[in-house]
Amino acid sequence: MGESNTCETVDAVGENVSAPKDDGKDPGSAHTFDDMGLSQSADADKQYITFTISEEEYATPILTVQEIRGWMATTPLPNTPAYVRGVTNLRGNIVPVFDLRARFRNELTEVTDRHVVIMATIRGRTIGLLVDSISDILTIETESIQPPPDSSMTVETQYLEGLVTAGKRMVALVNISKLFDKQVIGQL
Amino acid sequence: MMEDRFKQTYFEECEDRLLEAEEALNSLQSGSEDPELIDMVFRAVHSIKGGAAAFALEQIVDFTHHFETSLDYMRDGRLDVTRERIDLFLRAKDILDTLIADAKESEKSDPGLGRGILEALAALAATGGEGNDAPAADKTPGQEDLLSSPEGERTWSLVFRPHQDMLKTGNEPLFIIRALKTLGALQLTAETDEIPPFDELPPSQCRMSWRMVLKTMAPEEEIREIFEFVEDMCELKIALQDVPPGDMPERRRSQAVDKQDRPNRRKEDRELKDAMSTGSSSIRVELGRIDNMVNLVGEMVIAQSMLQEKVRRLTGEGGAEVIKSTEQLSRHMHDLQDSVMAVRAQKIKSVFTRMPRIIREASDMLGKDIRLTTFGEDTEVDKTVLENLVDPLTHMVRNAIDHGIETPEDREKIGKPLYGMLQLSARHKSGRIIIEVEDDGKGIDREAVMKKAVEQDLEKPDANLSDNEINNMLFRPGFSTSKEVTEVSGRGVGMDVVKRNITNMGGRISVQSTPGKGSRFSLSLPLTLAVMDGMVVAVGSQRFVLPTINTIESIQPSLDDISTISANCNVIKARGEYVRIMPLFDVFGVTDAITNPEEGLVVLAESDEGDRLAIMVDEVLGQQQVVIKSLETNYESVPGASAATILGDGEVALIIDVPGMIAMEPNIDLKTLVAQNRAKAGAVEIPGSGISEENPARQNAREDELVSQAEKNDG
Amino acid sequence: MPLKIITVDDSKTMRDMVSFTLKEAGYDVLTAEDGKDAVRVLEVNRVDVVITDLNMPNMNGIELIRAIRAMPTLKTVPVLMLTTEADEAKKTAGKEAGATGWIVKPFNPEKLISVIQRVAGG
Repeated sequence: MGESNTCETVDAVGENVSAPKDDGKDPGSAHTFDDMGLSQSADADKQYITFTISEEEYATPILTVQEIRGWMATTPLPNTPAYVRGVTNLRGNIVPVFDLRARFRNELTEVTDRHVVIMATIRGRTIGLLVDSISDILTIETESIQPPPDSSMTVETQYLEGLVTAGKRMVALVNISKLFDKQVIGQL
Repeated sequence: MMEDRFKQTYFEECEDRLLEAEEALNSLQSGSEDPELIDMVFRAVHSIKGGAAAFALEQIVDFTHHFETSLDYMRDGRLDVTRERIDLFLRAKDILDTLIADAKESEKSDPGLGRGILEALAALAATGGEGNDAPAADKTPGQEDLLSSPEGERTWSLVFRPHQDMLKTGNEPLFIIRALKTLGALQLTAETDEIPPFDELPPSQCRMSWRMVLKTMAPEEEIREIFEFVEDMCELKIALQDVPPGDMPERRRSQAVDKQDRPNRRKEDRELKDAMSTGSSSIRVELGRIDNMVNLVGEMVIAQSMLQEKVRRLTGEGGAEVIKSTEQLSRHMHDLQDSVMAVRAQKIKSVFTRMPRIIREASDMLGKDIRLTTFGEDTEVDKTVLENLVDPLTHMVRNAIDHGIETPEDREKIGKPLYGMLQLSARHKSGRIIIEVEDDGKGIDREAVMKKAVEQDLEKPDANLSDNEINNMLFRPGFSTSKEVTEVSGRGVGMDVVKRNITNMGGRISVQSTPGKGSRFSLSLPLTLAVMDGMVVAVGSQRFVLPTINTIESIQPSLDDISTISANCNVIKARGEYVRIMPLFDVFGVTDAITNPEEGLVVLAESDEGDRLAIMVDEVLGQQQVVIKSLETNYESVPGASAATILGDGEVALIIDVPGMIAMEPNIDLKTLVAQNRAKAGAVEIPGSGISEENPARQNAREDELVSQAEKNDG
Repeated sequence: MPLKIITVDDSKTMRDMVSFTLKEAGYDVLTAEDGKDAVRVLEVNRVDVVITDLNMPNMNGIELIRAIRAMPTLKTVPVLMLTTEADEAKKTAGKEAGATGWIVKPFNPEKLISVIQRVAGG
């Protein structure tokens, strides 16, 4: 232990957001929320963590995020959609890992050491989301959220909660629980 | 009277004995240290006491009791020989002279005679016995009879499981059972599942057990008395059952006393006292904490096996020592795991006690009269197993009342007792728990089952099925024999659901039935859902775990042993029968696996029903205990896998669901695949011997080596 | 054929009482005065049940039980200890030596017969 990829835990959201164990075979770098300027006094339920897939930026409430890990070995599962990369061992729990690029764009992520997995807890279940990188922590006021363009009720827009602008960037708020909702998946 | 004929002999003998005792005591008083002397005094007093009791000479019995005890302690060294004590014994002997002389003349002795001496003897006996080893006063026969006045017929449930070496003491179970029959009506169920094949049967060992229902006027002591010689050589449970279902289960339970550990009673008493003196012997712990502990220990076991794997590669002098230490650590770790699992273990009582109410409700609704008998309520099993057991067991009990046991009118017509008997039993067997639900109802109507199966298109009318196969149709999805819809168990459906629940837990269900006599449903479940023994196999770069309980053997097949019976289905002849081959690489879509069965292995697997499947893998990596992790906690069930586990290197492996896989259809013709691959590679014919032990990786390596060798030669 | 029972006791009172009771119940009875005597009797007589006192000179009851269990023809013959002692240690020692059970003195004749039926079936 004690190498640079161990990281502190941040108790900003009332529970331990712990870092990956340094087990020597975890090539990914872990990120500390401290690095990203999250202050302890911030209004946690308005905070979002943003991540990128290709050029696009997405956000999800920070309260759903348990920890960020580097890519680790997954065990494939049979007869599953391509975006189910398999299951992995998160401190003794079997956690599925979903490839968000495959989910959004139907192309598999070619995993490198720079890719990260967001461990999120939704409705009591922990899932891993493979994304390109973590980019920011944003505080988003409800009023600033614009509804997604409802002109096209495509499958994609069903799991978008809205859009916000952060500086010059357009960030899409993702509802992760809807992302893997059987009904929504069934429409694919 | 008989007494009179022997009384004279007795008094004569007493005089001789008292003389002997006096001589011996005098020798001791004058300094002799011969240990035989005390023994002689003891035998004299002992003998006098025995006769006195036979002739109901109570004063002599009372007086000799402490006298004898003190002598007993002195001869076995618990009391030292001192002049004062011998003096006391001499004076006691004098009192005894008087008492016997009075008795001989049929005179009552002065009740106060020798009281001081008696008190001194009692105090001495207490010193020798350290306050808790003094023998209890012998009961006179009259007392016993008063205590055990009969109070009408009652029903008792008995479990009698002799230890294997009980026969060595000359105790014969047959005679014990015959003796029980003299007390009342006895209904016997033999447990024969521990009996080995005849040629392996050791004639000097008892391998049978019995469950019994005894209806008798006799009090519990009388039943227990029959087992008094064997109670520490068997597992014995005797419980009063004669309470209407649901009425005061607490009372019934409190009467079920397990006397299995009788020899340690004193020690336990002491422990109990210790525990009571500190207030309480148990504490309440939040379940979450225990689960956390279970998880942590599971993690440690995994980390430990990871460490062990690395340590095994160590060489040199230090290596062996480190290996030895880690092996020790590993043993402790598994002990720790067992202990932690034991914390989660609960008595099955908590499930059984729900049944009387269910029985009462169901029998009220159906106008049936049911008596419940339970066995083995103290059998322990993991809490999770217990929780998962409630629904299936409830359903089975309802089914037995609904479809098994007849109405009182029907029972009367065929000469059965008006009330139906339902038995619930639990016991441990080879690391599993066996639970049985038995009724004395009408049994499975196999003709009706067959007819229904044909109606529901589950079976052809001309199918020639064994009784067992027909019985097992009850577990088919959607199957129902019930002619009318009943409110109690719906449409009689549900045994398929019961079976699914049970198999999901790694359990098995089976049924035996005799028409007109009743049915017995047996469940066999793992004691814990947290760990199991598994065979780790490799398929390409992936690893899987096969539950050891489902595996029979692994075979290196030859292509000649394999035939194609229909499109995409191969069979292999194993142990005299044709078994379907299910290639794991195909089920799990592993692309880098061995596809030629000759280069891999097939593991012969068997489900609880005895259905077999040959599961093709690349190789077997080893056997190990694995921690079972649900896939459904964070994801969903995966066809072909019952759960997952974490291997020594921290990676996840799926645990194969053997019964689930038996239900799947193979989807690949291995023979064609082999032929295609050969054609594609334009490969040299591999000799069809099938005894190739090499896996392709190694073969490739050798080919590479050959190539590089060739290149070198070229260069 | 009635069961043949040997009663071993150094006390003549006891011997007589046991054998009287057994004969009344229709059994064949042999007697012996101590362990050594019993072994001699058993070497030439086949018996179905042994009833022995524990405190005896020469060879005591425990030693006798061990000797009986060591005799090939008597490995599983029911052996009952006759004792006035409610002493668990005594019973344990007897059972460890291979005794089948015990009869507490003073025995009541019915009880004696029922115990014999329980261990010997007849």
